[in-house]
Amino acid sequence: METIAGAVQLCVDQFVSGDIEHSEFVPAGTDQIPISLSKSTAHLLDSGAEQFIRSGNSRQPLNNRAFPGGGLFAALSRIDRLQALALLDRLDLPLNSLLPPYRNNPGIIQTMIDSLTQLTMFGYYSEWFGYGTTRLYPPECRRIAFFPPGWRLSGYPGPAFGYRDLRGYILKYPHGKGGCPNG
Amino acid sequence: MADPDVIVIGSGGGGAVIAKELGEKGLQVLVLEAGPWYGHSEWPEPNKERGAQSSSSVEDLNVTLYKEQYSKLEGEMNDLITGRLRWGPADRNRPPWYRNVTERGFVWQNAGVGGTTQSYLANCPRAFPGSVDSIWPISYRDLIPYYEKVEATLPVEFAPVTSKEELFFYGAMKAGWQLIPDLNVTTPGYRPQPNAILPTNRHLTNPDYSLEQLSWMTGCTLAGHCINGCPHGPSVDKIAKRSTNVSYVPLALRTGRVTIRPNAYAIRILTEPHPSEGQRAIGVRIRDTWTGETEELMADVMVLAAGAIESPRLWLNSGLPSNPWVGKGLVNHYFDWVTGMFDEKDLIPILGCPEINPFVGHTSGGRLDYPGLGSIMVTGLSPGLAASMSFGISQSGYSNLHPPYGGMPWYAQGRIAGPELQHWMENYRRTLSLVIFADDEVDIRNGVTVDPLNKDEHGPVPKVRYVPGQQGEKNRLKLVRIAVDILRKAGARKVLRTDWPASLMIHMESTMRMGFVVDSNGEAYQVKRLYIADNSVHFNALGGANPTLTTQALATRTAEQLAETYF
Repeated sequence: METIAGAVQLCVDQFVSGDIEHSEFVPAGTDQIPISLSKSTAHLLDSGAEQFIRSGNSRQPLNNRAFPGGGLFAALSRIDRLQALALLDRLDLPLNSLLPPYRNNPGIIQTMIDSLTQLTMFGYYSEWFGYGTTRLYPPECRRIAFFPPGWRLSGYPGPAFGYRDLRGYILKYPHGKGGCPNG
Repeated sequence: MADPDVIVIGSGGGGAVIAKELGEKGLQVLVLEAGPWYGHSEWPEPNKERGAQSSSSVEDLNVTLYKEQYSKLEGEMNDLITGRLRWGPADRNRPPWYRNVTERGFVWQNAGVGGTTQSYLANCPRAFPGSVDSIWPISYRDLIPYYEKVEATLPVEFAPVTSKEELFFYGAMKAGWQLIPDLNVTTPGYRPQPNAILPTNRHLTNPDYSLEQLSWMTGCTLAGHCINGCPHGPSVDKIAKRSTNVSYVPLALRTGRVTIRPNAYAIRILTEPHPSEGQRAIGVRIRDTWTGETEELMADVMVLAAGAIESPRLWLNSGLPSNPWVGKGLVNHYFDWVTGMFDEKDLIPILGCPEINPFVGHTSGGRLDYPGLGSIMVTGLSPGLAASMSFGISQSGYSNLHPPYGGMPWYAQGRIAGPELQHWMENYRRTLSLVIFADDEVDIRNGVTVDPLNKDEHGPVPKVRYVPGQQGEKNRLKLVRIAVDILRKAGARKVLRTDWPASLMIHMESTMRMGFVVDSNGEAYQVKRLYIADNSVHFNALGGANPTLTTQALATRTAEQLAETYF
């Protein structure tokens, strides 16, 4: 298997946190919730990491230097980060210790664990990295600058005008015949 | 438009259809749409500025703009948070509109003229007769002429075969399934998709025509962008995939009696007491999504076609009469997703080439139907969607943290990550994905409510609960087994079942059911002159068939009844 630039090297975390921030719902007529959704999500991950470490199942030592400025979750090894996500996904921690909107809200926690994974994959394999220096611009101001690495890796040729792989038709549609068979 | 006869709220699968039908009957119709209008000269930059207020001009449909805006880039089009085809305001610098989904999952819908048909796969099966007859307030026979009319208008055609369909049909045949040639499906079997997609251009395999030339001509070019928003065709009304913004909307405008107003969010149905009719609808309050200004618009009849989430929300937020079934009974075809990975040497004898190339052809061109259980559809997505929907979302956790399934070293279930993900995506061109949707039962505990304390600029937001029942669970499991068997019979060396969460909502239906909230003509029992023409009126989940064609047939029928009753 080829060694390739992964999602961290392609800064997909910026895509993920950007989308999370952008999706934040602030109910009308109320004050802004205390901290932003990406920060409360980071807190969620650190809470999952803390609970995972407490469980005694951690396989590798913590490394605070892997992602300078990161919290407990960022200090876990790769496999342990996955285990911490799995722990959150199973809701295997006291939900009243979390920050809003996650506090006592199992549906939102599980949706976010899926979203973190989905957005990472979507950011990596869609055109996002190919927006080059415009990739963090507002959505209407992004311009494709180069062929994204995720397309090269997956063998996707990019948007197409068409393909000539026509192998025929099995059935002809029976318009106006009361839906009777017409092979 | 001053003094329309009818106001239609929503321009998606149902709203555009009823608008065209009513316009052809001579009625003046105003269609309100919450999202933007792509491919129209009055809105050259629909995501950047407000543009005009409304339009009734078919001449202003602009295919050059349409092709620019429908860029075929999945991030730009399909990102549910910032994409052009999201559930949110035209201004993409603003967040999407919030839905409070109580369980793990999300609601996949599009705002904008055409609604969710902008990104739908254009699959148009009829309901399974056995799920309608003696169950619905109307018979399957009642529906057939309306199915035929919609099928001819869109039009619906059987999908062509590309590599992924050929491999799927090969696996289905090897697994012992028969071809179903009939549109009224009563026995299980496989078939090409009945799709609202124009037949392929007759020059498609002629190298004298470049693919770019062909993309400006009439007919599908097998470009694989159905889900990203199809931009191929010589004019807006001849775009290959027949979303309602390119099919029914141009026909509606051509009547000269239909006006469409995008960026207009309906926030309240207005009613009055009437001595003989009782409570009746007289208008709607809207909010301009760019300026925030509100306005009240009046008409003789109102049609609610805002979809199975927003239609009940609007009823509830309008203080309309209490009814235990408003918003209740949500079905969602408890979905799942299964992907197979194939070896080159196994593909060559079947396909004559070493790759499947899932991004080629109709996004979904083949299906297996099993009336009463549901459906399995071959589906090929662009890589970002393929990765995130195949490998990123599951209620089974991470597959590599589970012990292997006994006796099935080729099978895994759940999300994947790290080298395993890289391996699957390096083999993307040799993968075949099958989406499963199961017939699920109506349960009054499922549905849409509103919480007065949790509101956005349009009022209390919808709170959506869906927990599948036992029958839905059983149906889904049986379909997963069939899908895995088809993949293995086709030669898959590895199979991954994603195990999507139940609240991943794509086929929402039955939240304003016929026989409970509306009568068999689509008119609300408790509010005269208020009709509903979207998925919400379905009595049940149709046996597991995709809902749009049935909504369009019912909208055609409701237009007749409405015009006869009030005009």
